[in-house]
Amino acid sequence: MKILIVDDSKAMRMIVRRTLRQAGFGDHAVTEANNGKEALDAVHQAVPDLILSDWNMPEMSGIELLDSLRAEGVSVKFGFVTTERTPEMRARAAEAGASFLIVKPFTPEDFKDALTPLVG
Amino acid sequence: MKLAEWLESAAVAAQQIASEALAARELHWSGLTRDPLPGDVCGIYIPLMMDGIALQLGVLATRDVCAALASALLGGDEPMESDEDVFDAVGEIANLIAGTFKVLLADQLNVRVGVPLAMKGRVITLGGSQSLHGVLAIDQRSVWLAMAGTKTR
Repeated sequence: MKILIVDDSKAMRMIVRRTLRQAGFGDHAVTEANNGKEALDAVHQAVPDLILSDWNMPEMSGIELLDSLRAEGVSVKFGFVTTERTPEMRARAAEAGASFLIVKPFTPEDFKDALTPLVG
Repeated sequence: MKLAEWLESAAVAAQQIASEALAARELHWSGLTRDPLPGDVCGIYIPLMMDGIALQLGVLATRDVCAALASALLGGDEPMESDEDVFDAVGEIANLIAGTFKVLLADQLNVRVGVPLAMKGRVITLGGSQSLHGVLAIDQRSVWLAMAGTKTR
């Protein structure tokens, strides 16, 4: 399985990678993008199986990325990894087609709970 | 709310993040202080926007403490050396604090969090705008939390 991590923070991308390993998803191929626009370009080259995206990013936010993907008919599995966690934001994410929203700071168990139904 | 109350809310959020994301064992918040910021602090300002109010939350410390915070965020097993990596990680810490700040105030206000901006060098306020700060000791390392703001009438 190919997983694309989208976050404008290099530190957070490293933490997400490490947490994926700790949660038992270390054998999946992981690539990274620095913001929504880079991620959209990456998806145009090769569609991953799952996108884990931050919400607030320069250039293109995570929700703009998800809206763009769905508008293009790309149905890739998509989850947010973000500090955004109000009911309004969760509803907005679900409405746009996100499968889950993991709140920062997170634990490997949070990743297991969110990803296992999608990737096994 | 007054600027000092925003700062207190940010301090509550910062202590929560220091405990959860930085594995801090010892925390002490000084409260609002009139002591000037040291001349050698650097760090991150992150915008917090509400209807008619624009705040800037600063997370400031010496370069060495910023590097220690960055390393703590990464679990202590990743040395942080370059300014780019250190301020990237401190920006993420500021982002985590801002996210918790937003949740703490969600019953009263809709806070929108902006993109963090790194600052390096002596921090001074411009144009007479008000800025308040206090010291959060994280495992005996001093971190200055600063809050500046403007609003419309």
